[in-house]
Amino acid sequence: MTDPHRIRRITRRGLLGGAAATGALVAGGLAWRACPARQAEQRVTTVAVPDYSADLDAALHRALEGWPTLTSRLPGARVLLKPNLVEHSPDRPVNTHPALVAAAVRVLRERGAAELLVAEGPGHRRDGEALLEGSGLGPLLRALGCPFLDLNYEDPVELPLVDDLSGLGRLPVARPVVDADIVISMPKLKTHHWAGVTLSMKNLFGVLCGAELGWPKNSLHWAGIDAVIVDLWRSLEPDFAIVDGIVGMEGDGPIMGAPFAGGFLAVGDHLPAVDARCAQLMGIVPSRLPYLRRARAGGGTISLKRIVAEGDGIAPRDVQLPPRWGWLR
Amino acid sequence: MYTAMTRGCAWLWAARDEAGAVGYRPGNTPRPEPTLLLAMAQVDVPIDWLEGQQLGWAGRLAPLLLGQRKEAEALVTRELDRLRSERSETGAASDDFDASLPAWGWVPGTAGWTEPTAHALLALRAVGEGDSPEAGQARAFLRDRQGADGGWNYGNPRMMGQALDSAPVATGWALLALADTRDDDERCAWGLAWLEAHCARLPTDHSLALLTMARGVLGADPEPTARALMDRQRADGSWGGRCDLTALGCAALMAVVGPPIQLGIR
Repeated sequence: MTDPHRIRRITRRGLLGGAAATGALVAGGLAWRACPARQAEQRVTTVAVPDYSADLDAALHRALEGWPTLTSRLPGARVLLKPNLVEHSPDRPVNTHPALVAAAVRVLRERGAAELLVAEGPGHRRDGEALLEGSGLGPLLRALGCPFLDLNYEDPVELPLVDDLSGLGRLPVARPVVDADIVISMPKLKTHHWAGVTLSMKNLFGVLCGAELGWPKNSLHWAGIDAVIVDLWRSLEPDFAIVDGIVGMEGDGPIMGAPFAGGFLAVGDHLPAVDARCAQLMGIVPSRLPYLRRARAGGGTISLKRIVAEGDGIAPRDVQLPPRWGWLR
Repeated sequence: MYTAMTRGCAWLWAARDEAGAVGYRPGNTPRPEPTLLLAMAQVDVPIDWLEGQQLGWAGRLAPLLLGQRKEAEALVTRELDRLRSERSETGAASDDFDASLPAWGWVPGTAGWTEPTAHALLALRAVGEGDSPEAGQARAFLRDRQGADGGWNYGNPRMMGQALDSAPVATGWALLALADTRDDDERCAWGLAWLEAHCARLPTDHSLALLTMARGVLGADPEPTARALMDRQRADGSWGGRCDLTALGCAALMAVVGPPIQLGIR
């Protein structure tokens, strides 16, 4: 059995560094469980972007300026960019906007990424080609010479779950995710009728193989959506998040909701903090989101007092919440 | 078209590993679904290899595609037993659909979904159990889940009061599964019209292959969509560089040039 942690740490961080980091994380997690108030300080950068006709490349460059933890590692790296590509709907902002994905490809290349792969395992649709073409992402990636992979059909690597909150033990992660030097979660900012919101952590469901789990990946929901979200974050250790909050979805997300003008990008290297900051900007108390509460117990920083909000000031907006989630406010 | 089909079959033949199995892409780890789908392209299927695997949801394709093959009898029996013993969890009452109907899921112990249930019905029909209680459950589920636009969503036609979009792959399999009885003629014509319209808007390898097969079994001329599919064949003979899609593509062309794969003959 291949240990994906071993692969990722050897290729991305070095075995000793990875082991040390894991030890520190475990120790830190235990300490935080005992004293949740001591969450590590994290940063999240927001950049105001009025709409998709803005200079997205410039906005992304600006957003990444304060993140040497990412940008210094880009030269020569194999980067996997994981957008949210769910359904094709011209009227509803379901997916990470293709123009933003294309901008990210350009910007990451300009900053030295040697190989860039845009990859997603759509959670509902077997026909990835329909999503790629229907969403408009396909033509943009072809113009850039950037490959797209439907992760649902890639070889699975059984990822052991660090805390195994879900009780699933292992999850089938697509091999290209494990092999990447840098994994960037690039979600759409949306409400979600089962999880409250779907942001950089929930977006990770798409790294799992549909050929193993089906369409939708229903067993993840049966195991407890919040637990699986945290299991994936803890076990996969994604490197960075770029959230498309330029136009988000409110109401009955993640598919049937309505668009709202969020007007921002949010980036950071600690996914719980990124999600907490985005939740704040949606008018949601982060600690009321069940999956973020569980992430906190696993070492995640979700307290707004421990998150340094950098970049442009963005006014929070009370988005329309999904049915039965009014208590998030 | 015959040449296109044989090129597809040759591509699949070359993609097989030493055991005769294929992954979703050449060189990837062999997997049950694309290996079983080889039978759709009339490429040899490695029965021994399949017998040694846990086939999961894809096992329902074994009775469908190998049900008449003597050498696959043990495999088909095993997968039929599993099919009969597995049923999805039913849910709480819903205004959107009949949550009490059992069906088949992707993973045991979870909810029922359109495509796995269509596979189950096709499997039962293929071994002469199209009138069994299990087949009746599958039919009831598929009939209940047809959407207001005529197509099928991958799961539920509505959720929380809102109509969900239909999906071409789920619709294609549902049509193939329901095509054998006159009782569903109107339902299938409606679904086929949705799939035709969808493919005209957004043609893909996967949806065109299923549409062509559905046209074949529902008595519509499969040639126009087969030609559209043929035009999308890659220079190497594959569709999309994928073994599953290439097998479906070959099966779709066989609906025109024959002999057609035995799915839902009326």
